[in-house]
Amino acid sequence: MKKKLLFLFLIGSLIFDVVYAQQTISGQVTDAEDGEPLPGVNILVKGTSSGTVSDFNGNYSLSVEEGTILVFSFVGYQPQELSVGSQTVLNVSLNSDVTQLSEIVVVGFGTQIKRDLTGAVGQIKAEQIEGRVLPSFEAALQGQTPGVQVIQGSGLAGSPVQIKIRGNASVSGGVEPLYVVDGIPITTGDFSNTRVRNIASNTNALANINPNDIESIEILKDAAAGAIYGSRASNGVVLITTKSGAKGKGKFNVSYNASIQEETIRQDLLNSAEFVELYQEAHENSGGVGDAVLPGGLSREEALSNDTDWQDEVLQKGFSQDLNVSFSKATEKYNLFASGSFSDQETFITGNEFRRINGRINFDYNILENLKVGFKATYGDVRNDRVPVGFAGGLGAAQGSALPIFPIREADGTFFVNGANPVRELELNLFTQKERRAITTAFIEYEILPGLKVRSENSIDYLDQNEDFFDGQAFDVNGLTSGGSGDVYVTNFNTNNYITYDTKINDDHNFTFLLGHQYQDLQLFRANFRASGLTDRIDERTREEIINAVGDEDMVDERVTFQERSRILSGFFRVNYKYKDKYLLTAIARADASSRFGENNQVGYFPSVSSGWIISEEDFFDFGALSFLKLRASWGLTGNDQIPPNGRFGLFTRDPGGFNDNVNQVDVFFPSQLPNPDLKWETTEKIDLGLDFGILQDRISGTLGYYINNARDIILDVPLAGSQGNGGAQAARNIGEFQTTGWEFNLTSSNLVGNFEWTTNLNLSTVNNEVKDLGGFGPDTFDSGDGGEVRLAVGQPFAAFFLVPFVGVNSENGNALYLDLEGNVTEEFDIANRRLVGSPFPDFFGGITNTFSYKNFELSVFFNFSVGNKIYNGEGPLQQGGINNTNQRREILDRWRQPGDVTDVPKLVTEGFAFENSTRFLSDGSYLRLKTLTLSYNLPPNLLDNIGLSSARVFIGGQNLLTFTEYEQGDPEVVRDNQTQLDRNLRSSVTFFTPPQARVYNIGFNVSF
Amino acid sequence: MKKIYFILLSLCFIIALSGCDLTLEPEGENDIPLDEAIQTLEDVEELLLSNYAVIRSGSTMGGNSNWMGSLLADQADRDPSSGFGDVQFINIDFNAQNPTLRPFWADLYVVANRSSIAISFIEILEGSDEAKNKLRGEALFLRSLAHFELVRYFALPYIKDQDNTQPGIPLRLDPVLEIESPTAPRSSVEATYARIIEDLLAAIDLLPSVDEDDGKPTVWAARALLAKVYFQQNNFDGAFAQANEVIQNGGFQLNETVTDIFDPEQNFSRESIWEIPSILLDNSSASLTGLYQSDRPFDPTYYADESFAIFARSEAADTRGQLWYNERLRNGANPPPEPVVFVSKFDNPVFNLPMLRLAEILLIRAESAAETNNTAVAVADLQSVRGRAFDDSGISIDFSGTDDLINQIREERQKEMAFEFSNIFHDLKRVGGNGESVTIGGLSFNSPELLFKIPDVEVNTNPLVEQNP
Repeated sequence: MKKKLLFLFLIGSLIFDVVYAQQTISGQVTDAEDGEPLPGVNILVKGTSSGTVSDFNGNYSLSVEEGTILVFSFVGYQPQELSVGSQTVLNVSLNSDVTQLSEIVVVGFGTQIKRDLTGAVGQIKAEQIEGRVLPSFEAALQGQTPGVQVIQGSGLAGSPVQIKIRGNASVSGGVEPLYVVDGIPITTGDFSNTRVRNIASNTNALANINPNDIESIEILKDAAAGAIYGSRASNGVVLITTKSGAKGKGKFNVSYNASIQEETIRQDLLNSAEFVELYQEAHENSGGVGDAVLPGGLSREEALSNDTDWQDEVLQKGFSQDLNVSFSKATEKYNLFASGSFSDQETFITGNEFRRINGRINFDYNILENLKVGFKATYGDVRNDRVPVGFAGGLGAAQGSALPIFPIREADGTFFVNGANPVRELELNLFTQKERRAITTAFIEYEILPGLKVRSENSIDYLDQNEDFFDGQAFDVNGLTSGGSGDVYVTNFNTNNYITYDTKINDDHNFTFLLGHQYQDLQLFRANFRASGLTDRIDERTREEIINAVGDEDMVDERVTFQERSRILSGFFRVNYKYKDKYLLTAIARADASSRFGENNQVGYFPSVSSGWIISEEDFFDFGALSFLKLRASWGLTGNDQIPPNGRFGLFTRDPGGFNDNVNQVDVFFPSQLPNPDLKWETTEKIDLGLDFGILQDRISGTLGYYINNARDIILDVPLAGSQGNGGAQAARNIGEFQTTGWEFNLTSSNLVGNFEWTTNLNLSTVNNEVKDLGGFGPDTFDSGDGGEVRLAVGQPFAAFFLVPFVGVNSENGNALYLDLEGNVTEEFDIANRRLVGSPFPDFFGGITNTFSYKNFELSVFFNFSVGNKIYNGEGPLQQGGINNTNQRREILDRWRQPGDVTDVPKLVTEGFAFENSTRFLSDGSYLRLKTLTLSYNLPPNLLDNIGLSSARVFIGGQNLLTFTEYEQGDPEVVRDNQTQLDRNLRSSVTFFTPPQARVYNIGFNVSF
Repeated sequence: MKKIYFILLSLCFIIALSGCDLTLEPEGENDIPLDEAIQTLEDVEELLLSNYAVIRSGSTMGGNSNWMGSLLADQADRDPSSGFGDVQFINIDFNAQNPTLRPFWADLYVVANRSSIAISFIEILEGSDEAKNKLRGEALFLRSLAHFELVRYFALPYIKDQDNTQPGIPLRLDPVLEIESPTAPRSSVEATYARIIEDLLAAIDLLPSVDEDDGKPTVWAARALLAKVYFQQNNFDGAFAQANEVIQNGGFQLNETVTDIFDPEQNFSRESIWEIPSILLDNSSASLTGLYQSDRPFDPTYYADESFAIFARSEAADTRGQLWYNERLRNGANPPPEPVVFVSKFDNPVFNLPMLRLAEILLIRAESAAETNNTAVAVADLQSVRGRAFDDSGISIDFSGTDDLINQIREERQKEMAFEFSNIFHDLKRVGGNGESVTIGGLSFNSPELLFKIPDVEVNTNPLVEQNP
């Protein structure tokens, strides 16, 4: 119906004059499927340019000569040719032609037919999301569309997904795309308050959204598509459209999915006997004599008797289930979709559990034929029991500081405390995040004249999050157990108001105009406090309540609050022009005034121009099987406004209770931020070239694209000299320049049709990144710190690995050998000898989905892959040498032991061990992964009729079932959580006890009635 | 009918548009725009209060200041560590990336800058001269404290009777409140000390003489600090004069026992010249207890070096040897057979952090007196400190000549001030600066290897600054 309406507006205003009139023939054109009349169908006399168009009721009439052949064509339908005999009435029904090219694509403040697109837009449908076990919906984007690099953070519940659209890179700014749900830019990000508790993992506000509510996801990649979102589109725009009712009688849908999760990889570490043996050897290598004093004050006998496999202790088989119920119905008057879902994900780390209850109602109502109102409302309630990982403990400790010689408990049953004990930590520490979120949108749409529509969309997205932490380990210096509580409230008000006008001048000139404005007001309020002397988790939220609970005001810290607000006002204009269905032109202009920008740069302007040429519509076009060919090109500017809302202000901060006067806490007041009046968005100039093609009537279709993104005004946090006295203060300056280029290719092919069907969807992308300018600052100014693994340097890829080359081990003394800059082998480790040794960007990456169906069975096999990227194993120096306080990977068994040993593992020492980042821990991160496998069975219709169902499907499947990689240190899909934005950007391919992803086995069903 | 809807819709547009307002002010009750921030002397007072929070933090004088020099001078010891910053202290081989020294440098300059900001605002704000003088004196005091702490670690020692043109530190005298602010080169050691002294002399004229028991410095604190500065220069006349003022007129007395100064029940004791208050909720002594505390389930990071422990506990009657150390096996079910001497001086949770105390000033006066042939005062002061430690106020001081007396005072200082602000390290450098042959960690006292490197961020962003060799 959507399609019909659109074309009704496009073509409906046109009236054809009839040229010659030998015989009048009339009739009605209808949809073959539902019998609905089809307005706007082109009816041409074959071989001429004369013809007519069907009216609103699908009726037409035309004067023709007898024997003439009429061609009935309508976009989205298969054309039909009929010869006119002596009859005067000729009714025609057209079959819809659901090829890729005729699909509707959401493009921001409107829709377009895929065929008419001039920009680079990727699309994902509900089928690609449903039935999968996802940490949040955007994980489904992985491997589905070229140029979009997606890494599911980790197997932790509710953890963020890293999405890089066309290798977008920012240093200290956000790299997340803009997420727009049903026209509304929603609140995204990690709102966990590290002042309450830092557990080395991030959270993801998007995890609150029910993936099963999503009808389609569009990804706007280039400026032609994205510039309509101006200063927010540099990282790409992800448009999410939620489901609406399907016409016909009301339909219930119930789906259920149960799964078991386990870790994709477990590290291979030393057992107790090996650890003791190697520790003794390290002790002797360091000049020690006699028995080494083992860590944790354990005797040799105790150590040997305690063989604890800590990974075993903190890992589990997690059980998850997911239930969705929805109802949809649509009539001429209204359209309803309602859903409810319950999801409970227990991950493979003991104690980590994520529960979500979510409800949605989408309702549209046509008050008049030309006046429509509606609302979309969703509410989600999430409870996430979080566990520490990485440097914070938990699994990170189980793979590191928790040595196999440590017991879990002492003989008397109490926990072992003389060394890391993740079991104790997981058992005694409690950390829960609760999030309630409501997104409500209301719209009104009025069609003033045919083709002229005005629409207003208004929304509030409200997020209320509470985190409670209880530290039951009693390591407070006062011997008291303590805890903390933090609240975050995010209010996101948005309004879009716009006019669209579709018109056609003569026969050949189609125009769509869009003019509108958007205003967003985003407020964040955060508060937290800590309390001592607790005996259990804080369930109370306010400081007053907790004081009552504890009974002593002196035990409860002052509440620290933080507030920020940003407002953005935008005006936008877009015109789409199509000439003769062959030549396409789109121009966009958007202006953004944002409170985030410094007073010297209050408004940014973002234009784009794009064009397309449908070559296959040309008369000269005749290339056999090649049925469709379109060339597109676009240029435009977009921005990245993900800079802190308060970033431009010079600020003093008053810290309540920051000091004391020997009796009470007193406030302190200090300069916290220097003014930055020049601060502005990061600008990306995007150039895109694309070739869309279809072969054999689009049985095979695809796109080949090339893009150049010139990112300018990249914000670099230029450190200020310490002697200026602003602590670690940095000045955010728009001075960096990066360039990203890449090829993109995707292909959809129906390899076999008929009883046995086989379709293949393949996409491949390359991404090349180069730092062009760093504002004249030296290469070590922007690195990952502490002689870090990565840095920015002009002429090198973004965040390239910069390390001292490790070349082996001196067989005489067991010392590590390195190369200096002249290429000489040296035993001295000096960070001055670091050099460029690799890039975190893959040579190419992508995904391939093969779907086979036979009768009622369907098998879908999706692989994703990445080739040529490097991963730095940041825990390597500890796990392969730091035997003092870290359990070792089994590779260490090949260590040097005596003169003459030839090996590439240096000798172990207990004294003088230094944390040395070298190429010894840099690996090729290429992988091929069987991401999802689903076998489903659709119950046959006769059986369905008997049990009163309209459709029923059962499926079994799995995720991350197989991984082929040479990277052995962990999961090759790495997202470094919980550092600053800078760290996340620079160290995205550097691990530090990073938890792996989950391997999932699932089974479920989906029935409709 | 249609018209009504059209009007309604137009109204929606207008309302939506008129609601747009691009606020230019930051939100948040606690974030104040720079140009509105400092309005009153109370604001200045809160600004200076923020400096105490920095000074007591682990990154500066609440932690790092305490162990860094003690470790280098073999007073403290620690287990071998894998942290790449700690290894540099153990091996005395520093680089500019050292993660301990980055915040140590930056945070002490924060103190200097906030003091300079305070000074610049005090000039222009309304208020009584009394209030202004107190705040100005406090700011000058805190600035010199930061500069003095920095120059002793990052610059070669002050050598008596020489020009001392060796690079000192950049002085943060102008307030920095803008991104585009000038950086400063390193002043010479001579100029650095001259400025510290100038600031302290000014502070002495401004600060009140009565302590409010709230942790603010008094004129006596300024004099005591100045005595330490002169003493570091081996300016014995200057040191004597200032120490003498504090002892004669400050009204301080040694506490009864050596543990009183760290006893939370005896905050602002009579021996204390300046201390940073600590209450349960913000526990300013927490970093220090974390580094040394001997009676927790986990062993602390630092303990007494074996040979120093023998020296410190060599006399059975010395209560410091008994009460400030805790010799025991390491924790754990089956600890190694060799016991370790842990430092128990800082075992009390939530004690006020003593910054300047009479015993130290007595020993400064004692040595300055001995150096200037005022043996009677020297002996009396030594007797006071040693007498308290031995619980024998009439303890006899036997010495064979001035050199022996000076030597005894120095040893007394090592025992009395053990593990407090790396006293031993600075004192060894001072003695070297007095022309005596001294080594620290096997290196000559003025070896550049003993110097911390200026942190990389400073070197990368301040072209005027010269890196240590």
